[in-house]
Amino acid sequence: MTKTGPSAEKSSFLARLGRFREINVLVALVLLGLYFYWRRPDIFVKPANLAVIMRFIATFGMLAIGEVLVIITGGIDLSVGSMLAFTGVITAWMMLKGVGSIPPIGVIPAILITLVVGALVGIWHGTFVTKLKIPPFIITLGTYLIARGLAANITRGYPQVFDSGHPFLILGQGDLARLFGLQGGGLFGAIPISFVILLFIATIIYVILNHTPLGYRIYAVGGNLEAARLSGVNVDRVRIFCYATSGFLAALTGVILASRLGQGTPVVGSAYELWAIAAAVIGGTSLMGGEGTVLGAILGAAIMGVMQNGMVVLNLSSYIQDVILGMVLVIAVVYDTLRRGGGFDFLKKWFSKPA
Amino acid sequence: MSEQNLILRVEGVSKAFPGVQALSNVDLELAPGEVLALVGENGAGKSTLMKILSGAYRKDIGRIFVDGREVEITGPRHAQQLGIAIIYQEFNLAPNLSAAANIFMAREPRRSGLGRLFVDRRRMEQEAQKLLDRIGARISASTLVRNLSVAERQMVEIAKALAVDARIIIMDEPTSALGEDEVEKLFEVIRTLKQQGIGVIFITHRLEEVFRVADRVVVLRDGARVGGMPIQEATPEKVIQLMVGREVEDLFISRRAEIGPPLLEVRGLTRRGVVENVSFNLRRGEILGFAGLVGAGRTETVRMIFGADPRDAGEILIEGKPVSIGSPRDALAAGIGFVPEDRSNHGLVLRLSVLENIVLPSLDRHTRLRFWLDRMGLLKTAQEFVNKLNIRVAQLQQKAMFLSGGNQQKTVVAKWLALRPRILIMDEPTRGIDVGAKAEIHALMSQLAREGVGIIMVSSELPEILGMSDRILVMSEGRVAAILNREEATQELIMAYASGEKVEDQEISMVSNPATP
Repeated sequence: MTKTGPSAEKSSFLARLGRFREINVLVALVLLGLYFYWRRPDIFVKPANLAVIMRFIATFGMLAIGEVLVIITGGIDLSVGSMLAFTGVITAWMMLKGVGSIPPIGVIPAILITLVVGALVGIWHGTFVTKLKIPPFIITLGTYLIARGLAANITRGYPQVFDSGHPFLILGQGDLARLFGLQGGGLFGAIPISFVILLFIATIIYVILNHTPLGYRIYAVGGNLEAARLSGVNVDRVRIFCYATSGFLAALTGVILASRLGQGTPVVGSAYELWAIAAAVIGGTSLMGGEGTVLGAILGAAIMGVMQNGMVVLNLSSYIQDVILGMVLVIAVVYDTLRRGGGFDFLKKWFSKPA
Repeated sequence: MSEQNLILRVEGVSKAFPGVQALSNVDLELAPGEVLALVGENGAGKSTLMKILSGAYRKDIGRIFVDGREVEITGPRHAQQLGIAIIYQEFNLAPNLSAAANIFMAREPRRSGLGRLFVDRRRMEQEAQKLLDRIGARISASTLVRNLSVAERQMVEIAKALAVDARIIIMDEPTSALGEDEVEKLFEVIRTLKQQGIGVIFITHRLEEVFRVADRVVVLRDGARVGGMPIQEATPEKVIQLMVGREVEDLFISRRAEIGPPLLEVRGLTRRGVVENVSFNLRRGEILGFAGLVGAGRTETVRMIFGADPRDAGEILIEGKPVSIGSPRDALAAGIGFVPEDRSNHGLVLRLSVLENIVLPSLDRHTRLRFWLDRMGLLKTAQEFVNKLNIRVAQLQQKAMFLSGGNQQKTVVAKWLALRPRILIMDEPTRGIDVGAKAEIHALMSQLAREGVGIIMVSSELPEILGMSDRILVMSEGRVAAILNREEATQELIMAYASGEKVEDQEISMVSNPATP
């Protein structure tokens, strides 16, 4: 019952650490890393292997950030996996073949157009969800089918393959060593460009969520749509923004993936939306809406990346890998649910003396 | 009454939560056919005690006797077996099932023989009807619950309790969502239960109800029992004094604000089938009370003014100029604030902090370069209103869900005050909050009126309407039945207009509305 002024904000480092919500995920990540390092110190921390993990995080972290935004508002975006294929195909198509009578265009314009297309698809989703009250699950499931179908139709099923020297390929295949012309370059040089892009995007979204009115409104809309509306929040615009960002980030990931694979192919990205959602959830995003952070999304993607890579390093069969990843997801969600709901009270009872 | 006759006896029960002693050493006794009113401010421990009795919580220490036998209530099912039923404010009914199916949920009567796999629907409806008739509820057991009114759903809940042979029925704020006429029906049901030897524990904030229905009153404060007495020995002043632990001079602080020129004018506001042709005006510094029965269209009217719901027709003028209000955002821009009836679903984002809730409508006023939030500014604003409204919170980052009802309501008010509105609409501003917080909100309203804010107050509590309003607009069946001056208004007159018994002709209405030119 004490009154606090703004000065009470400055609390001890430990207290702040305790409030740091992603601490559990971070601890789990560090423990996982240590375990794999202990099992295979010769491979796991090699720059080349870390680069593999970072590429994984770049892909799923980006998608997970989009999902986090949509999920905070109480929605879901099932289209992102198919959008990867669609945007990868159209960007390759624009660079290599041109559309109809329009000749091929340069790398930068093609990428920009693709990103705009991604954002427009997101706006399409958001408009259906807000104006027509179509459940997000359904409208994005529609795009899930439409986008992959279009991708296959455009290419007639054949991938659009780039020549090995194509400048576009630097985006997905390059690392800092190549960018700066370093010889070797160690760990720093091994950092993929796509990972740097992820950090850049994450910073922007973090700032939006934490330092702008829009960010506050996103959480308010997710926490209680009606209360937000009655507080004068333009709830439709806020939600459309989140879907648009998810579409934009799917397109960006699609472009990077096309570059990494050296082709635009309609078969890429299958079930990636589910991995992205899993990463968001492992990172503490509540599917009920209202909760979720950028850092959580990246840490969630990192846990999945480290797990997946570590299991490859340990030579586990790919069949068992999926089983383990699925179990990690379940454990993470159960843990989080119990923690929030005070479901761990039984532990307190076990460890405290009876009254 | 002798101890053997008690159906329930609670002795020295305590319960602690991390950081809070919710109950300490509480005694309670209940005889068959007795109606016990349990009163106390929010956070006094009423709900905790009820949850212990209904098996939702386990007590730390103390003893509980049912029919003189000591029991250890292990869970909700066990409480049910002991004959204890609780009816929460939020009902646990399936809206798409019939009243009968709800009453017999999970205990549906079966057919005989091989038919035991199937529900005997006819017998279920007959028996449900018997239970509903027994409490005097005029509901057909085959009606779907979603087609029942709030009051009728409550009857279904009571019948459901009787279906499992409950002999102790606990009602948590049963009247908070009921209109005046429905409250009386509920009380008839309670009197019927009483005649049948059932003990009723009745939790309420409305003292007037305690004196209408209870045989005995027990007061809790800060987790302890501070008093209990037969109703004949109790007076409202005595009970309030026990509840708040101090003398409350007058529930309504007298105020005389300077009433200024017309601020808001509403003409012909209509939504077909709900609100018909509502016209009135509001002046600077005036508190205009909206009285009427539940369902008379008061909430619908104010929500339309605020742009929360669409309207079919009607004009809104502020300071003589027509304004176009199509959404709450437009209303905000026009200087209107709205404290909704349902604070936890419409007023607050419970998962967000007090800070975030207070600044939500005024975020744009705390930015640099139009997009970067000025955190210190936000903190300062929130702190200013937390202090001004005396919102009791450990820190601004505390989530709104952990506040008591009164402090939640003050937080809703604070978020509008931070916008410095010219017009404040308050729908049931003090429903379900304790006496202390209620007085504070009333004082605040008076102060705002003195500062020139025009206030529309929708309230179902006639003493509040009479105590706070400068003028009273009475609605009945979607129309304005009368606009009364404070001096001419009485409880009886308002009820007469509200129930449609008395119909005022247009001319008198104009005369009694001094602001109409």
